[in-house]
Amino acid sequence: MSFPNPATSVKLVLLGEAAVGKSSLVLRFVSNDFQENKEPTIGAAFLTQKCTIGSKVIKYEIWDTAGQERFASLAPMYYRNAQAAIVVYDVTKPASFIRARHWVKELHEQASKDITIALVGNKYDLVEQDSPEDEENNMRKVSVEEGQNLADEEGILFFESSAKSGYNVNDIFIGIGSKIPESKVASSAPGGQGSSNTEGRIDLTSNAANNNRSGGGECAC
Amino acid sequence: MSFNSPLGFSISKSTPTTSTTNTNGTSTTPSSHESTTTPKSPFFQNILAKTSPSIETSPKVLPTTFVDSTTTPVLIRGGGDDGNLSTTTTINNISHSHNNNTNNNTVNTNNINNKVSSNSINSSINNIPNKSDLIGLFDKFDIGVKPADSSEPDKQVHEDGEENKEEKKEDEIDQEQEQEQEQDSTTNEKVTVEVNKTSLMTIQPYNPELTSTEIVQEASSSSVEESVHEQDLNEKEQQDDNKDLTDITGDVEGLESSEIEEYELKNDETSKRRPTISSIHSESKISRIAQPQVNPEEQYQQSHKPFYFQNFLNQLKKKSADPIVRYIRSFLVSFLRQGHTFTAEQRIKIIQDFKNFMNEKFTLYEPFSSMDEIDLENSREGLEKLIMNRLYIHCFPPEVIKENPNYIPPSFEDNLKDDKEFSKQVEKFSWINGIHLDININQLSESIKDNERDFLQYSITEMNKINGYRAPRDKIICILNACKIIFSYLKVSKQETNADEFIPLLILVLIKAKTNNLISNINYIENFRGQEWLIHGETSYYLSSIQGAIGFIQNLNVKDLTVEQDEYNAHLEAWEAEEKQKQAQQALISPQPVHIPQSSNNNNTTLPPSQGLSPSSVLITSAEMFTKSISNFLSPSPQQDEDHQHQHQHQHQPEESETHDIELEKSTFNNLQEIFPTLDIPILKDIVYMNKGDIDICIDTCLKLVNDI
Repeated sequence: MSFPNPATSVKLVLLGEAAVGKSSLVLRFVSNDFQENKEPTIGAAFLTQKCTIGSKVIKYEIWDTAGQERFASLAPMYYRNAQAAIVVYDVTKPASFIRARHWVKELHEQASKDITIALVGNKYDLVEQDSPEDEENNMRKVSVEEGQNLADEEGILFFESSAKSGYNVNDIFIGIGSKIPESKVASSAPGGQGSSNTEGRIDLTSNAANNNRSGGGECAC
Repeated sequence: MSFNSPLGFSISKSTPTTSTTNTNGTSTTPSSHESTTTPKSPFFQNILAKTSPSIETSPKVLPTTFVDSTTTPVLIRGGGDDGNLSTTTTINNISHSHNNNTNNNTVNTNNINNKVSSNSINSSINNIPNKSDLIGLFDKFDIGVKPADSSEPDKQVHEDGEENKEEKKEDEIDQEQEQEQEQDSTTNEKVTVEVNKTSLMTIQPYNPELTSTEIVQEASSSSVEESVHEQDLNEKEQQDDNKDLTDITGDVEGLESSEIEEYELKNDETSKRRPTISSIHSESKISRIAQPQVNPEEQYQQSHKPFYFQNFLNQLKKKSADPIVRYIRSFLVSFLRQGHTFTAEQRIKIIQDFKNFMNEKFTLYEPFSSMDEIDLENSREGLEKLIMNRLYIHCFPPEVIKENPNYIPPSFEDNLKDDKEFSKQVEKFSWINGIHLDININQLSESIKDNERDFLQYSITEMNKINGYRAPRDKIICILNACKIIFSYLKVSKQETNADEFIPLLILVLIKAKTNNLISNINYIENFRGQEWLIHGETSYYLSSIQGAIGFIQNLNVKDLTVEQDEYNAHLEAWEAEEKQKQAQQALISPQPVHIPQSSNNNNTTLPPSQGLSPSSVLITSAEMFTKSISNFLSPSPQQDEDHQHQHQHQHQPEESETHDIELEKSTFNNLQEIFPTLDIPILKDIVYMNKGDIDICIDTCLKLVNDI
């Protein structure tokens, strides 16, 4: 058996208030390829997806968390040993942004030191039609600047995305994959896990139609 | 993989290749050499060095356990031609033959068929004399394989004919496969219909093991009886073989259960093993549930790969694997002898070290040394299952305390304490339902709604199977199955299958399941499951989820629930009242809470954690409850009495015969009251109760008290 592209596993945890579209985001990400590249999982709470970035192949193991406030205490169970995290908020819901801020802080305090975090304002599709003049009726309640500022403060990646349209979705994962320290990735590779189904690259054409991809063309996931 | 042996064994010394030519003395292990090597890990080395082949380990296996090994091979091989029972039947074979012989239970045969032919090799171990040491069996086998070995003439005969037999059997099996595939296609639907009578068809493929298992269970009982009968006709030595074999596989769970139950247990495992993990044969239906079609080859890329224990056992039987077998045997023997003296941490470390040690040894001996990574992983799985099945009694806290009540390592004791508290917490919140966790039942389609309970029940059933298995992997599969059912439920009810929806249901399942020793189980998995499978992948996710859910339940309070404070208070008050009532009744009728398996027989110092009440709380409240229940005590209502009789029967408790004689106690109490007017009435009652109304002892006790006063 040959292993053309030994993938390295990256544990990525999804945090964010309930109903901000955490799992939709991931479902969009993982469903953007031919089905035979899919590894079946018990449910969408845990998903895997391979992503080729330059010469390295990353196999994301994506851990969804329950966003309800009452389950916040479960989060440490999930982000321990995570190498990456996506903190999601809804650009139309200020409360979700406040929550996201808390998550980022908590991650910096309690998760592994070199965790790569991306802050993602989701549901961009809802605010695309907003007009700059009509502040009152705009759907957007969290400005790009607010998000960017928080990300800059915390030294993390920032994206606005739409799970619905696919806008920027792949870029999040490419961004994280590029930022994750190489050594970290290498050391985290489990022996012989998930390494035999990497024949050939994933075809991008299947998802190109509805993808407003902005420059992340090298991701073959 | 590191090749630095942490044990400091010199490979050349520890692998006496010549020793395999031993004839009867196969039990003498190579480990005598090992004591001379550098002792970097004294513990471990000690274990490996001290091998006493004569140690009898198999008696731990009750006779019931060989049922599975014997019955089916008889069936599948057509009665064992030339007295040739294939003792190493696999789980696969079991259900395979089941399908053949009970036409109405086709279960997961597609998967099973795939493996059957490879298992046909097994039939070559025959008529092996009873051997106390399980792995000694392998040695025997290896020797028997050598034509030059004259000490086992019987085996030579079998050996001679083995090839032909194998071919023949493969033919047979091919035919069987075909038949079964036909059967399978026809009966699959039947299964679906039977189990999910009301439009739950889409669920079924997701957890075929569930539905099919139940059907198997029904259907199996008849054939089991049949095969048990057949087995009775078999020769004693064959039974002994089977005992050994069961011992090897170590699947001795459910010792206390009947033969048929044991059998069913196996069936569960069978049906669960592959389909659950890879859902291979349910693909077509998976697609109906908006799950992307999956290439079967990709199925094996999951974190939970298919695992063929029998393959590993067969590989061990190869002569070249003899040193491997010797290592395992000497390790097991030593651990079983000395294990009870180790702390929990030492046990974990020693087992971990041994696994690492063996991983290195796998690279030295055929067939393992030439394996690809997938087969090697299977071997590591096999090793883990083999040793953990055997060492369960030293590693699983509830078993440890059963085995050795006098010493239980502190961290195991903590586990048991946690279990107890968790059970209590679960009792306390047993009133919780979906509404309190915002589980949106209204979103369910009407047809599902009626079956919501059933779904939960399925999941609960799977979860509660965890105590029926010994190997860490098997326990994890129980958890995964329970989770899988929850997701099926979500899918069918057209909800998203993400963590937001999943976690509340998981918590609900845990509360309703009231799984015994759940925390011990989870810790056992964490401690003894190979790290390579724990750190990554889906297993890890669901293990974390269940740990999170457990933590949530442990710290549950009104803020965590969607519930009015008043309602919450009312529930808790009701619970407290119920607890007191229970305690009162239990204290009156039995000295221990009903849920507590009586410890008087085995001198348990720590109570098994399955019950919801601690003895201390009983004592604390005893004064109060005696006052309250004075009327109960003096004139117990017949209904209560009945209740407790019933509970006693249900619990099969050893103290069943100790039911208090109320009349006797009453008269004793009256007498004592006359004799000791100075003593408080509640104290007198306590005394009477604790001494079960024995007037002499009571008087003695009272005298002491009076003197003290």
